[in-house]
Amino acid sequence: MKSWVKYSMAIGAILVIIGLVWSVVAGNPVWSEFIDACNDGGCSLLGNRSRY
Amino acid sequence: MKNKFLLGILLALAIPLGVPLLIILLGIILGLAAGAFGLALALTIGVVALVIGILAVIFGLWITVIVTAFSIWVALLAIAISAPILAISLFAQGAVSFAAVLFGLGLLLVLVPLALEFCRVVVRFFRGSVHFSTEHIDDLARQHRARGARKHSSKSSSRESSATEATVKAKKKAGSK
Repeated sequence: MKSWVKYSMAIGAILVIIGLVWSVVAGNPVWSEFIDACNDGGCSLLGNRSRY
Repeated sequence: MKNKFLLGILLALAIPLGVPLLIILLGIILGLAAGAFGLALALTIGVVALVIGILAVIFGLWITVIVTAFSIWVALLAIAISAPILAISLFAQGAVSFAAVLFGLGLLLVLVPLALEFCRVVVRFFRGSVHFSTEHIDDLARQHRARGARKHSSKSSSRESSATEATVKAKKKAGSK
């Protein structure tokens, strides 16, 4: 495995862990944030449906 | 051998047939809208491919293993690309926190090199510089079969011994009368 692959994966893993821990500590885990945002229409390609 | 080949092709077909069905189910369960389609698609392909891959390794269906590995690779790339785009666009709308952006970027940094590494290994495999050996799995299967045969023989011998004990008891009873 090349060194940049190792470094990238290590930095990525740290970011994933920080993101997960941060969101859980803040009381709104990443997965529920995504699901809530998509339920509100935020994931729609046509924009946020709840605005209309 | 022919049955295994057919089973391999059927399992490989289960990916394109099963994925749309599961996406519809996932969409209904999570209520995902169009923008999350890529992520849902990638996650579903990944999960289905992983399950089929495990089954294929257990049954030794190597065609299915190759198809599954390719599906997992596509799913990895799709997750790596769609997760940060989705996270950043949702963050811009104020729908998710910065933690979700970090999570998405982390996924990108982990999965893209992983997908590239996988691609490199496949290329080296087809060039002939890497060989995957199935000896270990074959050994495990042989050991499992041997253990099963041993259990079966011990059960039948215990059944025989109990039968002989019963006849001896019956003879003793008859003798005492």
